[in-house]
Amino acid sequence: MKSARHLVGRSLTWFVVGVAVFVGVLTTLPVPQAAEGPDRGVPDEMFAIVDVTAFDGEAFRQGWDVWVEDGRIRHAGQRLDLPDDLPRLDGRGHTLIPGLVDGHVHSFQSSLGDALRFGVTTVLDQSTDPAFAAAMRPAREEVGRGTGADLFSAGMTATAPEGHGTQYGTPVETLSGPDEAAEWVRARKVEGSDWIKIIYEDGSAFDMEIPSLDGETVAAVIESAHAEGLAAVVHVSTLETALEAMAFGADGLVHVWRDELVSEADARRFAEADIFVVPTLSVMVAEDPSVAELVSETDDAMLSPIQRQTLAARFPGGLAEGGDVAIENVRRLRAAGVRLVAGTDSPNPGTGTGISMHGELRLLVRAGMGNTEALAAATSVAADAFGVAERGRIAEGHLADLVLVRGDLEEDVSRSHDIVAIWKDGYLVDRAVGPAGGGPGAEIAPAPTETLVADFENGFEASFGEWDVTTDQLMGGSSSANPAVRDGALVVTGEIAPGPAFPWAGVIWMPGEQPMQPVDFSGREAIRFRTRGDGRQYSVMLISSAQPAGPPPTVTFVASEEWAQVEVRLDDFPTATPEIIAGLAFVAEGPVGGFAFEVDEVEVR
Amino acid sequence: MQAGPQQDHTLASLSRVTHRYGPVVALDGLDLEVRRGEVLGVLGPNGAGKTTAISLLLGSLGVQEGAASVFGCAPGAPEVRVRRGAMLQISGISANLTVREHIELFRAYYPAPLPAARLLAMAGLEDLAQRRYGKLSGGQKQRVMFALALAGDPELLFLDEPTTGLDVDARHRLWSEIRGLRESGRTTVLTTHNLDEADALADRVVVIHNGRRIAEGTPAEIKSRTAGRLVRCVTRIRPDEVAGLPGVVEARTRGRHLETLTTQPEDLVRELLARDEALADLTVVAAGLEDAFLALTRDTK
Amino acid sequence: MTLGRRFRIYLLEARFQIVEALREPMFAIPTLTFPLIFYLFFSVIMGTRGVSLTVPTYALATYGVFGVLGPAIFGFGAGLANERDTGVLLLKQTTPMPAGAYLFAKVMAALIFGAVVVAALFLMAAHMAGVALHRWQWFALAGVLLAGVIPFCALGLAIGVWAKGRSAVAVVNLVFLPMAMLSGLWLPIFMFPDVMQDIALALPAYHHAQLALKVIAMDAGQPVQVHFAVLMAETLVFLALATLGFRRADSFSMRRSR
Repeated sequence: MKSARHLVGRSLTWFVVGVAVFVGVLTTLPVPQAAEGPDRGVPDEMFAIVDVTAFDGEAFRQGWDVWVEDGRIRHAGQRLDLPDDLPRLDGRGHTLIPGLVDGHVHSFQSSLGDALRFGVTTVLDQSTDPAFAAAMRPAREEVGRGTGADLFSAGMTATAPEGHGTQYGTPVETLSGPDEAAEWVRARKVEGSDWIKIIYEDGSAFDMEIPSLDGETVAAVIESAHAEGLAAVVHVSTLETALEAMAFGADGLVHVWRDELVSEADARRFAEADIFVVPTLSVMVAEDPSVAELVSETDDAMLSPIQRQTLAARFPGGLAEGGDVAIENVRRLRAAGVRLVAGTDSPNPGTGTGISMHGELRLLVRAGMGNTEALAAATSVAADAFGVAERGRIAEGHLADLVLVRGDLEEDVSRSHDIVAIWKDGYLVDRAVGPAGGGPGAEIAPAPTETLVADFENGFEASFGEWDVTTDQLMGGSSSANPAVRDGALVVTGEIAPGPAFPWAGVIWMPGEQPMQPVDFSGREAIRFRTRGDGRQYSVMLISSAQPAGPPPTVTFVASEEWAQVEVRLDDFPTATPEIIAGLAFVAEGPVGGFAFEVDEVEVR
Repeated sequence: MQAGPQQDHTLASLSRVTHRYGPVVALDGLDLEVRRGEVLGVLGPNGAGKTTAISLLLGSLGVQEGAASVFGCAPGAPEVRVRRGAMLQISGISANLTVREHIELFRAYYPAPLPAARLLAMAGLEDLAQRRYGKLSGGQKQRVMFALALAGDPELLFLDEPTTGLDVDARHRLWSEIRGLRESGRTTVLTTHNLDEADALADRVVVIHNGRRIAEGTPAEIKSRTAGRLVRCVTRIRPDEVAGLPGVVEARTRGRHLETLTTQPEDLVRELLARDEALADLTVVAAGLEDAFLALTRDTK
Repeated sequence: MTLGRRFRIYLLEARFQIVEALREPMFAIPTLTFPLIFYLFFSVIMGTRGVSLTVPTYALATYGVFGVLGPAIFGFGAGLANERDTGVLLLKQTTPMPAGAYLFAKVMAALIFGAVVVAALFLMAAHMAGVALHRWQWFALAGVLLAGVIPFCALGLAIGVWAKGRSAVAVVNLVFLPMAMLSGLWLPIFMFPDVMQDIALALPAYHHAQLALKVIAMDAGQPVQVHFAVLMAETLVFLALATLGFRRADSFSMRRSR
């Protein structure tokens, strides 16, 4: 008995020790240093990709080793003498390309993440809020772990009052004549525009009448830009305006045109003028089957809600006609030797940030480009055209912005979306969709069923979510707002103070349980509320994402002396996702001065 | 109709048990009774059905016809298992465990096992406790089996041909250990095909042949009834001429010889010499076991 | 039988089963070292400048299955057949040892040998092949791998019951090696012709490997439920075959031993 007990005890002890050792081993095993995502086990920061087919920005190189250190490419070439302890990835069967450079985008915070997740490590933005561009600028100067593509931007665009480009809710200072050009360009330079973008668009190609800058003003802006040392690119949509812009000395055109075919002679003139063209076939060739195919080959879970929405969206009235003309024009421009830059014009309807760059490559090949040439247009040619340094090439000293793709892209560039790994500044990129459309933050919550947000019978409170004050002090301004509840209505008084380009003050309602948590109001149609006030114009701002980037989409209303009911349809907000609401702000904007307005019976219905 | 109420002193019994393996009849209406405190020898030639009988008493075979009972219960019942032990004809247990480890494992099976040291002593294994089973001699291995059978301090012990394959020394050594059991008051069922072994160990012997009980008695009784002699000689006398003589069990011609199995060899020799003066090459030998059983078979007719 | 004694029997039976297996070089050496040597060769040595980026991670799952399969199928298949042949099982059946203790001991031995292989493979993968997994993945992979002892022990049991003594080792090898190969435990399944991939669909090791690969998101994309359902069904079939075999063996055991 004694020895049996002893054996039992010893067996149990062994068993417990064994289990403990096993669990101990499991808890000490290494976990990925890099970000989450499907590419576990891939080292980053200091490593080499060996024996890979590399596209260096200009040509394919077989059997290259690429040594990455401190966020940059230390060496690249055949059979490098690599240190023994350098972690290495075998690249056989794969193609390594420079991070893609999208030559035409419009950006907001989450779009940079979406771009990066699809291998677009640099975006060349052709119009965004200057404040947002400024806020993003430090990130591109820093070599380190980031969550989005590097942003280079024209910032504010040059356009006529009420002209194209003023409809998006971003602040635009318009131009009325050539004499304003020099001052306007200087202001852009101070704001930090990397180049100047000019809208030369009268809507004629779309059977519309849109106020446009006149040729003289366009020429003056181009001249001023060059005087300030900035490049100037022009938005055109007709052959005629394209030829004019060339004549004015534009450095590039950021669309190809679909109104008529370019003649061989004209194409040669573009080439001789050494003007580059960003054809943006992704928006020009609407509903192209190759794009649908690309989307179908992409795991739905890889797409952010915004990407899904913009891909599914269509231009009102359609853009179906003219796609073939655009393709043929690209073919002719290419044949004449015009520099062509890949760009998507995302997130316009039918495109998705990042993913559409792979569609653009397919479309450029359809327009006659070879695989090598199309990839160059999407990397080195784009970087050179816009003067973006250290990007678009696999070369010593360049940033380690790299995309590893399965298969041989020299054979078939349409495989470019089959991405194994992406590095930004040498850091492995997490390809998983973050919450709220790409950026870090809270998950999108479903909306409660009730429609009444607040009737202010019980003070400054909401039936769900909460109210708060919002002012431009967030952006370094000094405007103020003071909410008070009086006689069952919310009274907001305050003052707009001079300061930032884009001042505001007022109140914000955040529907989520967490502040700025996005809530999905799908199925609701409008925001309705009662208001009265000092007769000034006020705005309802809709903040969709937990990370508001730049000015949110806005609809204005006037608070007059008598109570009136205002209904703002969600569709009226110039945004792709009006039903995703992280915050709804009722604010005064410019001009400078005091304000007072009341709000009551706010509903989302 | 012997299967009446069992008497107090009956520990285990088989009543009119018939067992078949396919077409082969292994037991044919066998009755067997094990009495408290005895060493029962189940004697029979190979293939007589001894092991089948033991297997039925152990519950490792199911009863097909008839009845089997141990301690008044079904032979395989859990309450039976803890009170009995068995030493079977198996080719071995794990070679990689030591003697002590085997013993500890078997001791764990029983609620009140004998102390390991006592088991080692009873089986004469004190010096071999740490040796692996695979490194033991045949006799030592059988003693381990013996110790395992005793691990649970059984009231009833089954030893199925315990000395098969052992040399004389090893056999005698095991015999002396089995003899010790009787003194401790245990009941033992021992199968053997060796009459000497039954004689040396058993209080009572049951002889089985072709699945039937052909004799039962003390070893001395059985021995006397099997004390036949084989008389061989070269003679002109034919087997049928001697078959009717007193004591003759069987007579046959083998080659030139007449072989006569008899329980009264002196009378037979006298008679043979009287009838054939030319008789030559006369030998008288003890009958082999087969012949002894044959004799018993004739007796029971 | 008191619970305490039952517990003691289970524990000691398992203890001695493991001690016995550890002292048997013909069992312990191949089952403990072959998966490690194969992994070392195919993944660590070839994988560091290997076929693709993901070989060491992928192979960790499949060699893990290989490592769990070996002790389970050999311990049960060959072990049981041998113990039936020598008569150990017959002897133990005459004692009060519960049949469950015997099965428990075999499963525990398979589990512990499997755990040793898995732990060693994990350490090798982590420190020699640079495999890094999320903490939950390490645990989940270990859990899924070890859970494989259940279907594999059932398979071994069926073999051990039906195969005769010495031929059992041959039968086990005939099942073990082709199944390991066809289930993609040595080389990824997608490298095989379609016909062979179809065969794999019938093999428990394939489905177990797919579950393990699921943890590291490298499986072939079939639903978890399918793998579960096949494994459960096959386990039940193996157990049914084993029960049938035991019944049959019982009625013939004497003839065999005589």
